[in-house]
Amino acid sequence: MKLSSNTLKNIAISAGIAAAAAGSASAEDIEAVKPIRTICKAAPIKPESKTIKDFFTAADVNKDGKLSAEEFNNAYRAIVVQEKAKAAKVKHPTPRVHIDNCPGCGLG
Amino acid sequence: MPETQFLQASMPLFEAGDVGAVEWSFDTGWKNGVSEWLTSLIGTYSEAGRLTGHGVHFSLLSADWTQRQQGWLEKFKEEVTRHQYLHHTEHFGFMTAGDFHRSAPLPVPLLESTLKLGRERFAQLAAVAPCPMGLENLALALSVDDALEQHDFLEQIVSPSNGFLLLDLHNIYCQLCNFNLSPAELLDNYPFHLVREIHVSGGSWEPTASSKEPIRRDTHDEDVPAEVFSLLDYVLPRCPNLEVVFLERLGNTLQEHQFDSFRKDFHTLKSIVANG
Repeated sequence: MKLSSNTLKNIAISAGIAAAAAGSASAEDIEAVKPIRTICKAAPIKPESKTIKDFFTAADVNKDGKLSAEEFNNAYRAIVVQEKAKAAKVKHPTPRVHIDNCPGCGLG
Repeated sequence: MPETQFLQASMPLFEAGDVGAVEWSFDTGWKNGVSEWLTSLIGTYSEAGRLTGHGVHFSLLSADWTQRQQGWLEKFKEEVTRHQYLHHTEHFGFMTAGDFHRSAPLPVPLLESTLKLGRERFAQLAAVAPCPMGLENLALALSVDDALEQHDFLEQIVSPSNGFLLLDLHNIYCQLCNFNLSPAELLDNYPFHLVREIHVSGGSWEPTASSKEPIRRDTHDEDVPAEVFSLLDYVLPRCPNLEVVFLERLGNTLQEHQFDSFRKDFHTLKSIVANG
């Protein structure tokens, strides 16, 4: 959905961030709301097209380039076991405390 | 979402016109107010009919009906008139009980009494919402049986009120990890026809006192794992009534060096949806 340049500009200025949309705003406009930091100026990221098979090794994929349901489930379970084993070796930090002192619940 | 870091990370996406819809966790704004920029952003998507509402703190399956819940319902009545929401959702489980004031939502087993409670509470929400009302699956479960029957529980709660399901794929991933299940075991009998919305997010591992294995939690504080994207690819063709897919991330967990990976997750998600 395209937002108008005015809407984008107002949002950027009221949030106190620099953005392309706020380009026509004066430096004083942005300074007045105490900008926190400049937005990342990295080049736009190109969308990546991914399907299930992109997440698994070639060995997991059938000759026709598709995973059978059984292969998918077996591969998935193996990957999860690996991830858990990796996570078990990591020393975990104290759970984060959310901004309103909710003890690291996230939202769900 | 209310945090400025979230806007900083996502502004290029809004500028490019890539964001088709936004979801507002409206009850997080009741206590602390809503900033000017967020009001403007929500209002813009509301006017375009591309805003959904997501309640967090109702605590659907708390057994006692408390003043807090009554107050929440009264505020919800005001909220539904504030914007043009496409639909609303809340969470399965409970987050308050007695002196237990607040936590991540916790599960309850499927019993006649808990089902009756869930149906009554969900019907209260559906009666207030002037648009479709849905319920989100939970990350936590107390046993493998609880995990396997949760979708049945959800379906039985929402069906009498003509409600829908919000399928959170990272929550599914948490259960796959925590109970060593395969996607087929958890999803083959899922009532996909009821799924109208999908959530995709990252989370974290936490140690437990009772096991050497950590548990996976839906904390919305990391990048999306590849396994969750593969679940999205897996379920998309199975959801004939799907309306919207959201990427979730707590704004206060986004540092500037993570903005790129956040946007990369968004584009990966969008690409999978476009090809799904």
